Amino acid sequence: MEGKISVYKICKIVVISLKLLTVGLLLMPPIVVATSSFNPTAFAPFPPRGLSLRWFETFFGDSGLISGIRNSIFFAVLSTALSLAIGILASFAIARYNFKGKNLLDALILSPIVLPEVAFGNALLVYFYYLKYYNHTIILLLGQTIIALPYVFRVILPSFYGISRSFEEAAMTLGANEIQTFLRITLPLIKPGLIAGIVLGFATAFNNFSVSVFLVVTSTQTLPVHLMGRMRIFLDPTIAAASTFVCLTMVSALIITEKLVGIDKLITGIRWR
Amino acid sequence: MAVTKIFDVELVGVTKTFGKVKAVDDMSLGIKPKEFMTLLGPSGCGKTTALRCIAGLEKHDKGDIFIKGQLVNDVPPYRRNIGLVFQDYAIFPHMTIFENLAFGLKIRKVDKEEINERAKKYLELVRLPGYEERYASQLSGGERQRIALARSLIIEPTLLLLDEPLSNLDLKLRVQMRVELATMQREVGITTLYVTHDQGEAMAMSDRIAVMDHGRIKQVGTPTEIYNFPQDKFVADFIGEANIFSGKILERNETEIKISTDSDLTLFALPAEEELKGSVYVSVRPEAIKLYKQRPPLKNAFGGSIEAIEYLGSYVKCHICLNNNQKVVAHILYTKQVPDYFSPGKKIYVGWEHEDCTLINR
Amino acid sequence: MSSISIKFLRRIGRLGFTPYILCAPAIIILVFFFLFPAVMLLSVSFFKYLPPGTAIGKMYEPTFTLENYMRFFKSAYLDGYLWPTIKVMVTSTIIALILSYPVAYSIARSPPRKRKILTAITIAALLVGPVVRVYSWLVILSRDGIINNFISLLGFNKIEFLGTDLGVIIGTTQFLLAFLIFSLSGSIQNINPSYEDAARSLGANEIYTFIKITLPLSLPGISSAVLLGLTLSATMFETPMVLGQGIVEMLANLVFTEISFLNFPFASVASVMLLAITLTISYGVNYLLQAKIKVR
Repeated sequence: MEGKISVYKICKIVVISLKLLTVGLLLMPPIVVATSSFNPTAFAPFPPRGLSLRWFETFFGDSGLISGIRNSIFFAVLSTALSLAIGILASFAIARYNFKGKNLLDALILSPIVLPEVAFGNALLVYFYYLKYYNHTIILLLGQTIIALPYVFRVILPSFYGISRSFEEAAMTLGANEIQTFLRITLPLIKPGLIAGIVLGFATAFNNFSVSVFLVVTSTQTLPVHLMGRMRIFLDPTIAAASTFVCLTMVSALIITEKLVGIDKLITGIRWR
Repeated sequence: MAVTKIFDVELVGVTKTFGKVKAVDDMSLGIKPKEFMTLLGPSGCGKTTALRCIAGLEKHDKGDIFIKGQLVNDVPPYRRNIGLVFQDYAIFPHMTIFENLAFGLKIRKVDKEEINERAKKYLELVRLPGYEERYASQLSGGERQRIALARSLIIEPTLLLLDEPLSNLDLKLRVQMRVELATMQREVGITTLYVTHDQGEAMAMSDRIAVMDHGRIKQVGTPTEIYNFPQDKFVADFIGEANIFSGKILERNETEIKISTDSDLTLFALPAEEELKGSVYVSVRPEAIKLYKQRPPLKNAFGGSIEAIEYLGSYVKCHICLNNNQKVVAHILYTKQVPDYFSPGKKIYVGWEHEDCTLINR
Repeated sequence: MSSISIKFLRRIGRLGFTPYILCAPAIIILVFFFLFPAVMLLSVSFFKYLPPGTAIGKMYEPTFTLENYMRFFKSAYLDGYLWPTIKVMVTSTIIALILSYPVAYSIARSPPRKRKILTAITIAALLVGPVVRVYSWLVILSRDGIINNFISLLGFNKIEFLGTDLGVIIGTTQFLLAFLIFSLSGSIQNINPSYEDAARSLGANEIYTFIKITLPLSLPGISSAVLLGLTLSATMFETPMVLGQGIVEMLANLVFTEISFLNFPFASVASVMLLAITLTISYGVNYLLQAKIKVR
């Protein structure tokens, strides 16, 4: 009897330690990055030896970083908008109609997740080289849009299923044509899914490295690509400052999502199957 | 040909198929102006499909639909000027009650003052004054149902369609709403098509009932006609309760018709005006059957024993097994007068008048 | 104006084309900028590589050759890239699985408040992006980082993390955590809690319930998580690039290196191999899953 109790206790301790370790590991990156960005010295950035804002000064004065942020935001916003538009139309079709090839289309939209990002970046590079097409802005935009599309789709599609068709039919019997119904009834009702889709799509596009690294040129260089490049050279705490900035952006987006629609909505997009 | 001067709504030979199934099978029906018409039938009989075809939410495959004389086959639902109350009410959750009511009016470009006036008027009509700023989530089922009705009526359509609007309410509320709905309909005076599987509702509210089964209309008539003069076995069976015998006509003369049932009973009915073939169903309502200790002086009298008795409050249901093993059901009103003699196991006689036999062609 | 377009749209709608038109943008963008490039990738892997200077303006010659694949299957590449990749994949997936299961279980079974907090932490960990993650490991695992400082304080020799398998595995494991947690919590949530309650009411303590009831029932979920883990870690790029410091490289890094040498055909071979690995894992695990279900 006594022996059994201690085994039980040991198991409990092990499990709790594992949980603590895991949570610690999850939170480690943003915490380390944030604290080392306030470190006064360039060497041994963690744990920090004091408090200093010098790296933030460098960050804001660094034209490469600033243009990186500008590019990242530009491309992320555009590709999110694009994948949102495409995703909404396709989700509506799949949720409301029965047509041949419906399942095939569903699989097609989700297929970019199956292809490794590296392979996709490689493929696009080779493809546009073959086509002799060199508009790098469009190329990067297309790449990020296709990467974001499956996530946006996976979040928005359930929203459409969640709305009873009666609402749309009621609107039509009251005199609204198809477009009026869609704008005044359907879209407002899928707002939660829309917001989750925007946040997830933006995060995916903004943070993307594996595809973007193959497609960027100096003028379109995004923040992740720029930062990774610097990291290989030396451990510059300005990178920490920039990363802290990224963390803050993402956490704010998360808080906004939670306040508006609840973060559970995001999970459907992240879950694999 | 459409007799469009008499009817506000007319279906001519309408058929709607889903895959291999004919949900609506060559249906023809006319609804008179200001009439309260009900489509009554079991689940899957096609009544909701027919309603949706009239609304324009489904496109029928064959036949024509006319609303106020206009052919509307290709007219989209938002141009048919109809009001539709859905089974789940479909009150827009992201809008206030006022915005819900105003929705149809805004589309029709009615001006603000008029909208406010009408909103007040129709909220009063459904006895929910002052509800403008509330949301659907704050309303009970019954209130939502009334708002759905107000929303459909406020646009002052030509036709009101209701798809089983009371089925989500509890029993007491349902019975109460029946009366209210019928009263409101008469007050507003709008042509109405009601769909339900509940015959009590249909009988209580309608001017005329169309009984449907498997996509076809079996009979159209007033509640009294449907109940007392069913022209179809399905109708007799579905409406109220009926004891149905199948048999052949043996003799006919001026005073009576003699029928021999398949279970070897001889029944007597009054002469009928309609054409009757040799094979018929005989329908006898349970409330027409009376119980006797001794054989009564009626031609339709048979011996048997009581199998079971159900005390149902306002009447007693007696399950009787006749001597030839045929089962019949009798309803006895005025339970206080049921003598103690009539209890399970006792031998009794049942009897009914000639006029209580309704003959239906087989 | 708009009524004319509505009429036109309705005519199209009656013909049954509406859904296809709605899906057209998705179809166009995916076919032209996903499928075609993928096909291109496959083709290029069979093309002949022209080193720079051989022919002006051409990086490859579009003739069919297997030389790239043959080169890939030489031991140098298998030992240098394929084997490290598989090592990292398997190790990090197993460790990540063990670490993420408890938290996933908590998310699935905890009351709303605790669940929300854990979920928020996990999502936040994901959302910050690979750059933040990789940089933080760089800082912690370096020779002057906190871990090595702690170790030398205890009197041991400093451990070289960067540029070793260990470093890459640590980084990859942490990367997988959030994904596995979500995958597992989803499937655990689908296990009817009544089973666990029933076991407990029959006298089983928590450990026994877990081993005999919960674990077996979560086997499909674990398989999915394993699938997810292997797939994600196979295609990892940022982590080995920075934490491997060029010494430890995975297949994804090979692609990048070859591209920077402008050897499109060989890079494409690496990409195709990567895809082949992920597809094999997918079908392999699914097949095993089906087989197990059939046995039951």
